[in-house]
Amino acid sequence: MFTPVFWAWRAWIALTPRDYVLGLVADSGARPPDAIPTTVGGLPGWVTQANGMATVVTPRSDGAVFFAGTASASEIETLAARVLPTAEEAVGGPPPPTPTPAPTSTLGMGGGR
Amino acid sequence: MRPPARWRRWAAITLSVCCCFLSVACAGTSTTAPVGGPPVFFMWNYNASVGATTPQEAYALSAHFTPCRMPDGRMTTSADQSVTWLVSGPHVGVAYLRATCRNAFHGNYLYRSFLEVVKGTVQGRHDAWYFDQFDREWPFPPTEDPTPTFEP
Repeated sequence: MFTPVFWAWRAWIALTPRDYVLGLVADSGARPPDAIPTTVGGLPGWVTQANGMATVVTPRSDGAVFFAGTASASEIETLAARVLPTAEEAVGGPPPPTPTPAPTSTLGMGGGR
Repeated sequence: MRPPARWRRWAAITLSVCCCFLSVACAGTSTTAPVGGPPVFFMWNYNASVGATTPQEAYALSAHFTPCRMPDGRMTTSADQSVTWLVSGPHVGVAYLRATCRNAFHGNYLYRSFLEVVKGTVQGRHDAWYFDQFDREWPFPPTEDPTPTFEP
């Protein structure tokens, strides 16, 4: 028996050194020990860096929204400030009450298995 | 005696053909990535994840990530191959898997994958972790070098 957990994302990937990912997950997650507190677009959260990617996570009452990319933390924070406030619209809407179908292309929603 | 002998011969031929088809079908769906078969980029061992307390621990115990397999089963190198955890909690984790593969089974391609791992009950095993994944390959010509410039 699996417990479905909503998650959705939109990714910008091309044959360039830059990738960007915006996503929602129905779990607030935990702040890693090496994370740095930040505020983007008025939303409190944290930023981490690993493998050349910086990730901004902002917890919400129904989970967390994150934005990551192959750029510096400051660059990702600047971009996150623009996309996080409208993340739900960008990935296709808020978490639904029931699991959604499998992801397609670069815009995806998953309901677990 | 002739009819039975002929029947046995046809039965043997039919059985051989069936075996050949079965062998081909099994080679195509095996999770062990046999030599000469299509590559398996990612495998997950549910049983190994039992008892893991974090998504990272579950991944370390259960995942087998081999995005750049060659036709002979060996791996080509990928300078940017990495697993980056975007969100991590006691019950859910989301990771971004990437690699730039050259001269692999499917040629030259970027590999990108989003992996969600969730703690739950799997096949009657409590405290196991299961996964949901979306992955894609983007081919690129040999003349291009889309490898990121950052340090892996």
